[in-house]
Amino acid sequence: MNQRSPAKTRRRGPAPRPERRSPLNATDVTAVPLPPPRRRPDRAELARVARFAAVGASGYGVNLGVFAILVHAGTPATAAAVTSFVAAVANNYGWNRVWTFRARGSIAGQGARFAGVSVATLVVNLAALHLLLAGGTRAVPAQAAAIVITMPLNYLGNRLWTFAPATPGLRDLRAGAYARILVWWGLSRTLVFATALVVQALRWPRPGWYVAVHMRPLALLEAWDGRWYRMVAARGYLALPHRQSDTAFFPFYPATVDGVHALGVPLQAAALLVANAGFVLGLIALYELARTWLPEKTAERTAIYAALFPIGYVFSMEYPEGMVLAAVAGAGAAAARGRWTLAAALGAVATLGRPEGVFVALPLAALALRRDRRPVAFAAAAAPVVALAAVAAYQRRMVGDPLAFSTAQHAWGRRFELAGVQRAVRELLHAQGQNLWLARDAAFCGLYVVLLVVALRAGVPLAWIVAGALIVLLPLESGSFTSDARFGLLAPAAYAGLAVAGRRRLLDLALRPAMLCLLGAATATILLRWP
Amino acid sequence: MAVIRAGLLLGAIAAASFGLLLVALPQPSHGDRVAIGVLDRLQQTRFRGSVLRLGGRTLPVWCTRHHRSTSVLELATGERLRVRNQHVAVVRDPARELASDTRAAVDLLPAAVADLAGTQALYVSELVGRLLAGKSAYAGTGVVDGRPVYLIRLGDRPSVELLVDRRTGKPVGARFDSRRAHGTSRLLLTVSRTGC
Repeated sequence: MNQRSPAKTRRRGPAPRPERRSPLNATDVTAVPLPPPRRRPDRAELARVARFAAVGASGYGVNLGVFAILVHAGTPATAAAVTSFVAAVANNYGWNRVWTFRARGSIAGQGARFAGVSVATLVVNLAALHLLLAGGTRAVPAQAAAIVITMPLNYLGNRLWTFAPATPGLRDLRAGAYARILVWWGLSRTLVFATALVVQALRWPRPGWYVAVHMRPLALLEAWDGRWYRMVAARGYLALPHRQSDTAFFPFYPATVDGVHALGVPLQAAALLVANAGFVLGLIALYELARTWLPEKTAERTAIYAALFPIGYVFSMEYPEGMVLAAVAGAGAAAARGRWTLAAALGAVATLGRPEGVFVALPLAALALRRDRRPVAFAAAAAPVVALAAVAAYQRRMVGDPLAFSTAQHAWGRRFELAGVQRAVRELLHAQGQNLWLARDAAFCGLYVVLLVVALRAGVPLAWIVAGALIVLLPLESGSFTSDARFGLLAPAAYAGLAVAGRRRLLDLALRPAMLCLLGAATATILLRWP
Repeated sequence: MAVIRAGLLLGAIAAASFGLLLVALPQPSHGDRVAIGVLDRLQQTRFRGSVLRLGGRTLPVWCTRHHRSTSVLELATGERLRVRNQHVAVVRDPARELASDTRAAVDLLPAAVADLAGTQALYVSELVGRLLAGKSAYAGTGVVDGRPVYLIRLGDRPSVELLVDRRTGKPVGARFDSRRAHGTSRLLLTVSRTGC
C-alpha cells in the first residue's frame, strides 16, 4: 500500500496556520471567556467517513446478496439473516481495518470489539427483521429495511469504540488483555461444553434422565434451576402456594431469555446463549473493575481465573450468574470512573438478576462517600435497593405477595433466622461425609473467606470485601451451606484474592491447569446431585 | 438542582425496572391462574370419600388419611386400596375375598378408583406435577348437576379431570377416561382431620 508519511501530508496540504491568538493580551486571559473556536471538518476525517460509507455499502451488498442466495436455497429467513450478517461483518472488519482506519495493534482485541458491536447490531437486526416479517413484509425487502436500520448503529459503534483513537500503549495493553481473557474463556467453555456432551452421550450417572444428544444437546447444562428459569421465561410467575415455586427466581434473566426467544431462537438455546454471552461480558467487566484495584497483570489474572474457576461451570448453565457478575463488576467499574448513571443502571440490573446483586450498593456508597459526594453518586448507590423494591412491587402485583421471592424459599427449607448459622453447621456435622456436595459447598465457603482476606491485604477496597462476605456468609443464616459455592461466584473480590495468590509464576502455571481439571470434573458430576 | 437530578435518576430506575418486568415477562394465562386458585383451595380441602360410578356400578368409597402421604380407600364391597404419593396398591385381605366380578373391576383399575375416590394428596400431587412440567391444567368450563364447574386436567393418559365449582371453588367431582374404562364420581367433603 502506498501510505504517505506525515511529513509528506503536511507539505501537500495547506501551509500551517499561525496559532490563533486571543484579541486580549496575555494578562487578560481570565477576564472574558471566549467562545471556543469553530472546528472545521478535517479533510482526513471526511475521507474516512467516505471510506467507511463505501465499506458499509459493500457490507450491505454482501449481506443482501448472501441473504438472497440463502433464502432462494430454502434457508429460513432468520438463519439466512445470521449467516449473511456474519459474512458482512467479516467483510467490513477486513476493509475497515486495512483501508478505512489503517489500524494497527492487536487484531484479536480489535476484532473482539468489532464482534461486540456486530453482535449488538445483530440483535437489533433480528428484532427489526422479526417485526417486519410479522407485519407481512416479504423476506428480502424486510432484510433490506432491517439493514438500513442497523447499519448506522454498526457504523457509530465501530467509529466511536472499535477504531476510536486512544492513548497508544494503554489501548494496546487493554486489547491484548481482552484477547487473552477471551482465549481463556473460549478454552474453559469448550471444556465445559465438551464434558457436558460426553457425559450426556454416555448417559452418566443417571441413564434415565437424559434425552438423546441429537435431540437436545447440552441437556446437562439445563439441569437444576434452569427448569425454573425457563418456566418463568415461558409463562411468567405462577407461585404455587406452599410449594417450591418459581417466584424464588429473579426476573431479569428469564425476561432476557424470553426476549431472545421472541427472535425465533428456541427457549433452551436462548437460555444457554444469554448465560454464556453474559459471562463473556462478566469477565471483561471484572477485568475493568480489577484494574481499579490492582496492577494490570493481576487484574488480567483476576478475569482469567474467574473463567477457570471450578464452580464456574454454573456460568454456562441456564443460570443468571454470568450476567449478574457482568452487572455487579460493570457497576463498580463505572462508578470508579465517575459514570454514576451507568453504575446506577448496572446496579439495578444486578439486583433484578439475583438478590445478591443488591450488595453492590455497599461499594457504590463507599465510593460515593470517599470520592464524589454529589447526590447523583448516592442515587446510584441506592439504585440496587430501588430495583429490589421494583421486584417486590412486581411480585405483589402478579402473585399478591411482595416477598414471594423470599417466601418461596421456605419450601426449600431456607428460612432466615438468628440461629441459622447454627442450623447450617449442625446440618453439615450430621451429614458426616454422606453428603459430599454439602461438604464441597462448605469448603468453598471457607475458600471464599480466605480469598477475601487475601484480597483485603492486597488493597482491594474494604466495601467490596464486605459485599463479598455478605454474599458468601449471609445465606448461612437461612440454615444451610447448600449452594454457597455457587453464591460466592458473584463476589468479584474473591477472584481478585485468587489472582493475588497466583502472582508467583510457578503457582500461576500450576493453578491454571489444576483449575481446568477441576472445572471439567465439576461439570461431569453435575447430575450426581439430584436437583 | 443536583438533588432533583438524583431523584429523577432514582425514579427513572424504579420505573424502568418495574416497567421492564411488566413488559418483558410473560403473564400467566387465565387458565394457569384458575389452576393455581384451585391448587390453593385444594390444599385446604379434605374428602371423606366419594360415590363413584365405574364399570357400570355405583360404589361408595371412604378415604382415610393414615400418614401425610398415605391414604387408604375402602370400597363398600370391602376392597381396600393404599395410595402413597402417586402410587396405588391393592391391599390384599384373604379373609375378605370378594365376588370375582367386583374384584376384577377393582384389580384392573386401581388407578381409576384412586382418581375418583377423593384423595386430596393424589390430586395435589398430580396438579403440582402438571404445573411444574409446564403443561396446562385448565381444560375449560362445564356444567355438572346444574352447577357451573371448571374442568381441571390432572392427567392425559388416562384422562383425569377434577370438577371444581366455579362459585365456591370447591372440588365437587372427578372424571376418569381410558380405553378400558370410563368413570365419574361425586366427591364428599369433610372438615374432619381424618379425612383425606
